[in-house]
Amino acid sequence: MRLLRENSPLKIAWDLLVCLMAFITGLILPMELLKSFGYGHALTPLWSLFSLIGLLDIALTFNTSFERNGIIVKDRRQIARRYLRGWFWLDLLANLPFLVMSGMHLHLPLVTMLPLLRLPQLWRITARWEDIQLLNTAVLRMLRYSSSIMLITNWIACLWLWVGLRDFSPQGWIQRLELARDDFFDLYLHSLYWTVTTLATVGYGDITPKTRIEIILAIGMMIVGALLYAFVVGNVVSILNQLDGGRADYRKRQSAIADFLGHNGVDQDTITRVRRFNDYQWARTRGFQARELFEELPAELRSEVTYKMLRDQVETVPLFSKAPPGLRNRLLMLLQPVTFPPDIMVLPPEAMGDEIVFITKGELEIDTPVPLPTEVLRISAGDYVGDLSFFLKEERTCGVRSKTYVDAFVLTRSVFDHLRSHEPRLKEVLLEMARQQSQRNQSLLLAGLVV
Amino acid sequence: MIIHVKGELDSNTSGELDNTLKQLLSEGSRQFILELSEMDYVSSVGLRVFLAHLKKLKSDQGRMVLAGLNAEVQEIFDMAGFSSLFEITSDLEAARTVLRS
Repeated sequence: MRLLRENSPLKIAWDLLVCLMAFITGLILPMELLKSFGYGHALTPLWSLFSLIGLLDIALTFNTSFERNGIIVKDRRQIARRYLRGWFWLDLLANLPFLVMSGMHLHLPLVTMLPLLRLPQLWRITARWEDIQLLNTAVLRMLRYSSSIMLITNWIACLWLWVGLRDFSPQGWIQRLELARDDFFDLYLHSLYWTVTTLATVGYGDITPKTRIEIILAIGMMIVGALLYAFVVGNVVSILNQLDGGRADYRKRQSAIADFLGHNGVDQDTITRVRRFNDYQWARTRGFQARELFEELPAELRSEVTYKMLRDQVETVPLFSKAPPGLRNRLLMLLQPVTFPPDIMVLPPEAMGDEIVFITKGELEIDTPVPLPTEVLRISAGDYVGDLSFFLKEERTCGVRSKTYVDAFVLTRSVFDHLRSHEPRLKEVLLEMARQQSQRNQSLLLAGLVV
Repeated sequence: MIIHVKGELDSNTSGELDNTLKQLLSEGSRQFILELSEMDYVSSVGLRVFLAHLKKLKSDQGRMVLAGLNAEVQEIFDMAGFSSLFEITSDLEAARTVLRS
């Protein structure tokens, strides 16, 4: 049998099934035990199926690689040793006895509760998903805590019902409320209602503990249950806060920036422009400076991450799309990604042409009173500008202004000189691109313009 | 007609080349070889002179061949996207052959 990867889609789907199985067991099994003090015959096929799935899961775990300290362990002996020293026995206990019992038509109350040992699977699997970052951590934790709330509430309700069913004297809560003739579902519903009103500290008082055992259970529940509930609810609230924590921090920072600018006499219009620019950046970067974030990665992995992050943008720029992968990755590492807000001089006039700007998004215009066709003056995604003054080593006679938000990569002279001496293929790529630029450059030069 | 351009072709010197070409054109010359092996530098103004006359010659069924560009000048033509616009040869002899063809 081939080894399964623990984060392969197949294994994740299987784990999801196991989680569902554990959750259903935790929800239905206590009710089943109450109802018949043994498995109800109607659900026997379901429990058999669950046990089979559980045993199959044990077999799969022996055949699934795992990750330790970032290294994927594929050695079967190590996999087996790890499982046998850990969860194997619990998993076996949770799944094997029922199959044996159902085959022998046995009903042993304590043994029938063993499948509840599947519950740790819920935490183990979701913790693994958290490790491999399958879902947002907050979402996973939220799922974990909400399922915990449901299970805890269910168990307490079952315990309360068990007390009522055992204590069928006239003082017991079922007799007092004249519910003795109700069916199991109605009784369970009343128990659940009492549990929720008590845990939520609503305490309507229509169902109250009277007998000794009821009072003891109520006290125990209030102490343990309420504490557990408070713990879980507290965590859920903190997760909910975290879910949008990044945005909340960003808003706080923007508000502080606006206050600071206002305090220093900057007008409202400029403050709004700063805020809009930051909003535009935040929508794309979520406040992360990608280059700083990946500084510690090896160069090749870093450039691969950068390429994958910027793939859509990169593919619009011929400099990257025409370059072979090695050169493209070097260019991505060396060219400076920049964003310009609308109506900004991206390349000012009367400045030395020391940079070429490769546009990935947005629109710019060559700022000149000379009447030239729109296709010469307008620069958009995939175009580049600044090349004429760059290669002629002259000052620009006119500038280039952004019309919208513009995302671009900037090639400076020092980077170009460095690349030229190390990457002979760069010239071939630039030559190929220059053919497309020929018409614009002719029109500009003939009009006496250098950009 | 062969024209030898020497030194730097910039805003100070381009006028001379421009006038020479204009005069030769007015005298009816339609085929030019610009021998540039001793031209060290070309500015945007110099490029404009080349471009303007090439445009004029093309509309009059004339030809302009640039011969012997040094590496730096060649790179300017390449990167501005002009190397496929002009007929460029490595030396004068090659330029003559091109014009004869």
